[in-house]
Amino acid sequence: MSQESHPAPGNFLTKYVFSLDHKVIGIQFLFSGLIFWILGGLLALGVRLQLGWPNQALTELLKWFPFLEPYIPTNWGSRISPEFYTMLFTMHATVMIFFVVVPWLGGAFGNYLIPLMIGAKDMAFPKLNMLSYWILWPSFFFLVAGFFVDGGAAGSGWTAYPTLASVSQNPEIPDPGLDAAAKLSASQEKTSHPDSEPGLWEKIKNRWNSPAASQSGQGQVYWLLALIFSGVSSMMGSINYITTILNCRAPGMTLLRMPLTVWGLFITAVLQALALPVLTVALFMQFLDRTVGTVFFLPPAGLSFGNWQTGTGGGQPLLWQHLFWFYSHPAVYIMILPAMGMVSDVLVASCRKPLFGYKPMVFSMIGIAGLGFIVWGHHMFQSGMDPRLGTGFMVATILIALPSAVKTFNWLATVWGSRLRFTAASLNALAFISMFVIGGLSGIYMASTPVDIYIHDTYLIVAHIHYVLFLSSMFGIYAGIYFWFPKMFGRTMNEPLGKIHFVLTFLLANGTFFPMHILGIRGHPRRYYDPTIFDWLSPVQPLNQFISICAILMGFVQVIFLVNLFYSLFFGPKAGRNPWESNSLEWEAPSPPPHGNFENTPIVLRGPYEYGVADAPGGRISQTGNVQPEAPVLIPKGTHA
Amino acid sequence: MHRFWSLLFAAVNLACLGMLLVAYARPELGWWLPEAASTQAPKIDALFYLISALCALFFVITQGILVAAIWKFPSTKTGEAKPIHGNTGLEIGWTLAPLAGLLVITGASLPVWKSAKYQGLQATFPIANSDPAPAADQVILVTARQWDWHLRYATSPLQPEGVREWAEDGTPADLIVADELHVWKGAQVTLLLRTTDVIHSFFIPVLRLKQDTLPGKTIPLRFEATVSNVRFDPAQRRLVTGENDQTWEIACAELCGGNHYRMRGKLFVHPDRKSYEAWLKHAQSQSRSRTLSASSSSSSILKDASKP
Repeated sequence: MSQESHPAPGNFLTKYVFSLDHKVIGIQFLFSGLIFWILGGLLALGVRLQLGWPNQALTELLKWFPFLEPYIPTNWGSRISPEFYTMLFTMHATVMIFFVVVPWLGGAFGNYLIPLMIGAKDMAFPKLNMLSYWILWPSFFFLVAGFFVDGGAAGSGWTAYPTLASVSQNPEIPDPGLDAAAKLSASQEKTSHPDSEPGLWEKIKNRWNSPAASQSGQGQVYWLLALIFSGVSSMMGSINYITTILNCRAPGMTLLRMPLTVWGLFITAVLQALALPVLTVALFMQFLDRTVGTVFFLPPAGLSFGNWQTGTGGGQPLLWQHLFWFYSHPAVYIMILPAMGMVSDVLVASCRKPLFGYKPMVFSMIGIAGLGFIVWGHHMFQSGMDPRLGTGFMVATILIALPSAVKTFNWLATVWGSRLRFTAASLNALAFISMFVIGGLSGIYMASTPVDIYIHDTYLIVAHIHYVLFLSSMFGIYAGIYFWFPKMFGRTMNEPLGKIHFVLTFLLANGTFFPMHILGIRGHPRRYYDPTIFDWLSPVQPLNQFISICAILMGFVQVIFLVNLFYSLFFGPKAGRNPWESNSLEWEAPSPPPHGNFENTPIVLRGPYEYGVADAPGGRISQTGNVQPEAPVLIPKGTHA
Repeated sequence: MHRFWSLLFAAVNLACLGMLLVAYARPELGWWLPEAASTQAPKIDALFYLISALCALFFVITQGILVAAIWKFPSTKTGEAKPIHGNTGLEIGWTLAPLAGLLVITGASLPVWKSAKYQGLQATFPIANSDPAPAADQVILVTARQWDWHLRYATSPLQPEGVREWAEDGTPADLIVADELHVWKGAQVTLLLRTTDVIHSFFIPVLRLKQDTLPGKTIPLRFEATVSNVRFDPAQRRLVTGENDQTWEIACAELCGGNHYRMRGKLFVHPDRKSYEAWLKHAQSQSRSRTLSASSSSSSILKDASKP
């Protein structure tokens, strides 16, 4: 394959910046993700600051960061403005989903691990791979620039439901909005020439610069552009991963000898390749609605915002929800399947025992992915979609709990009877299993349509998504970083610091996200700027404060992780090839692996989970090891290096 | 050290479970489901508890195994682990057992969903080949906008065939009120949900009622309140506390802009039709002097009386 074709890099620029090497590209994804992880975390703390103490004047904060004045207006009592609050949670979710978890799992681990774990020299398409990273930079630009345009960043939720997101108000009509911050942008309105009919470009610019009655000004356009570019990046990545995994496996690496990490990434890539085009189309449609005035999401009769009327439409707001969730529900699995795979591999290496039920594990991942395509409607049970459709989506959604349960039992059976080594990596992997159970169970409440009537769009869904995405996926990512760091950088991370970080994050994350279940049971709606104005929500305000305190402390605790990461990068103890005594192929390469990864093309003789072998040295046989001479050497047709 | 890890996992899980149990066992904390005041509310709550019981079972089993495994099998234990790669019997067992639980949940959910959402649809836009829904005692058109609810009450009984026409045209006798939903205990209420601008979601926690409003659509809903919280006293010409001294709130559950959190409305359930009609008459006499496009802050007719 083409992986043979690219030569070793000659200079700094081709080695570290415009690199074609999957390992460098993976690490580039890792570090860009890290920056956005910090940004996304700070945005979340802004949300928690508001919810914990909704009437608190942030005078001190303004003193230190005067540029925040438009968002924490002094004429709004130096408090976070409701409009800024919508930006905080919108951008927190956008950043964490599209710029942290997806690029980390797919971009960083996918790039780094796939060729190493299947015994390939590089990706099938190294140039496409490089492009998949660099096309993210326009996306980064639009994402960050959104904060600095009139009206601020997108504020219509990461789901960007029309018509809140898609209608931009005519700037010549006074803004009917009630509050100070909405008027800020109005003061910056450009005066248009009264006599002349504005040209097309003028009209487009007016739309872009419109003050947002609906929290969707120019920032929304930037948001759409950012997501379009990041989608293109993921698309390139997924095509590359599918091709690499199907065509570039080492001799003997049959599909059913691949480590579960590769399976997770493979299934994810297929999901992305099939679902992403739909999101991209939807994003373009909303982009056109906002910029050139198409009406894909504007209903036939048009809308009225206060005294201002839109023109007539011809579209349908519900269309967006179908298109959006057709991608974004599978995206939930895109953000968990690779972590499931990684956790399985970390766990097995720490358990010194074979993975229990390799095939059920693979088939349940395929089952999750397959069912994942027909459950998007469960986000729309209360949307006004025909309730009879809800019935069908409920059945599919409840069934998807089944493969997840099967996976959980197989993990537990893997740990049972093992010889567990407690490392920062394995502890995070164990926490993944424990917390995934909670996140999975809370999903059943939402799947049951009648219960969903009550808990839809409450904090129960916020608790659920964070148990799945933070306490599961993110703990899987921590486990993956601790586990593969020695391979990536040739040094190991500090174990005591890793364990301290684990214990504190584990406790504080539960302190942050578990009480959200109670808020949800109480009926606390999500995305509320100030719940205390409701009588029925006032009893849970102490919980909101407790959550905020835990969240802020958890933010500080992440500094331990960052210190550990950067200290170990330069001063960590040198790691050998195989510090965890693991069986899969990546540990046969030097740490870090050179250009081309392996000195000799590995020949794979068995699956990756041969542990607890009594007569083998170290009680294990690696995938290329041939300790038992009678083991058959199987090199199927169609696999070549 | 491995015992510490086992205990940590046990402690975190027990704390989580304990928190839920405290919230459940001590309703005076206000950390649990609010009061159930409609016919569909107890059904939804029963489903909630059914799911909770099955989830608790699964939770205790899985977390228990995990905590025990961490306790029992540290790497310091002598000898190699047994190289077991799987067990078909176990796989079948732990596939079928959760499947049974999930089928129970599905089976229990179907009729509740049908009664909660099909009925409203049936009453307004009849579904072919199904039983007709009982005629509505009350029809109210709820129009959401940034950032309040406008409720238009039909003051004379409507036939199901006439509902659509009424929603479009209305009658001069209709009463328009902002942010206040008045019904009576036992009334079959049909709500027609609309929006003028963005998606909102009409959420009444005590009724376990939630439905998005969708631009360009009219979405019907049906409910029946079972507890009253207010009574109209004709002598004092104002609302007084009913059998249940509580303010019941209406909220918006779908992000609709910066003031999303401000779409606070109130639910008033009268004990009987008489009390409701007395209120209606009173409210109509009050509103005669108003224009229909009164601003949201002043059109709250019973502003003073709204605190029973």
